[in-house]
Amino acid sequence: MTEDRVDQPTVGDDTLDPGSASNATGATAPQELARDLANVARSLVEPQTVQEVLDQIVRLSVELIDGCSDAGILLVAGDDVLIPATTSEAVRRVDTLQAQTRDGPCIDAIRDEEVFHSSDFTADGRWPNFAAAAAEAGLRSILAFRLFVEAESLGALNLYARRRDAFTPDDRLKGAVIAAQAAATLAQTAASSQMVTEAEGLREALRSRDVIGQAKGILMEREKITGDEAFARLRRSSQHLNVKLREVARRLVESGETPDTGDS
Amino acid sequence: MEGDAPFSRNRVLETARQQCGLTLRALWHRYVEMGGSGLLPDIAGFLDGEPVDDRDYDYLAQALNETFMELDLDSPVPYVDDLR
Repeated sequence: MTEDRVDQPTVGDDTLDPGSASNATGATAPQELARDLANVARSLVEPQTVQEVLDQIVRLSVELIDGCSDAGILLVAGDDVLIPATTSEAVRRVDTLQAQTRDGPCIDAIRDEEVFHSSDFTADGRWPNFAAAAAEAGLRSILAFRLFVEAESLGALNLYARRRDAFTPDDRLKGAVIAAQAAATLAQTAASSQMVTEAEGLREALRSRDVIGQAKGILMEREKITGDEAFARLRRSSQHLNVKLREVARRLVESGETPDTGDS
Repeated sequence: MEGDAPFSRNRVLETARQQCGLTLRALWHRYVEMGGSGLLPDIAGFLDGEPVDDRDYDYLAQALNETFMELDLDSPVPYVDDLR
């Protein structure tokens, strides 16, 4: 079992019938292949959340890749393993076993290889537990693509087939396109989610900052003190009352009562 | 805390941040809430040995002490006034 190179399809090959989905060798008509690949890009641009992206990836994999009967995404982060999207219970069972035992092609191989292909893993002796579980689940061959890999984490798109030698060169090309698009969309979505979280955190901070600023202004005007002295007054009251400074500020702004600092 | 030389302040702030498990980003948000105007890299610099002025130091100290308050722990970070 070796890593397979993703072969380019022979565009314009006159042995292909443009009107049919595939010829006897399993090669997809160029027009159809191009249309499928364009669909992948289009479909993955539309979803908004990470979960929607992941669901789309596995669904598109089964829909567009002829040899693929089942698909799943596996995310490993330190000791945590997530299987956030699958198209079948069989994949969930097999990938869960891989994740729990840290033993299987999607954990092992995908860390070192961008693409991993086994046309019949039941005949391979390297992952006997995985092979047995997969066979029991009815899965026979696998085509796995790395989505990302970092020091302690990795993500993989695992495509399974229920028969041996199921994946054609075109399937591998489609898988590579889906995986590349998926990886890019995931990175973008994760970055934008992080930006939203960041913006929300800062918005919240700025709301409190505004109240604290108002409270400082009241004290500065009332006590003829500087801004730093007003902050110190609020801070001492926060310590004395054991409540957050923004709460001390809110009470002052709402009631006008001078904060109790405990000073006699 | 011994004295209020910049390096001591940095150490006190960073030690407290680690003790209460606050991320740098979360500390920055809380510092902004207090009225701080520094950006995230500035806060990283303060904790890493860059000089931190009295005002920014007290904002960070308050942000950290409120985190300890949430954790129901004593407030261990002294303010500039306490150091004089």
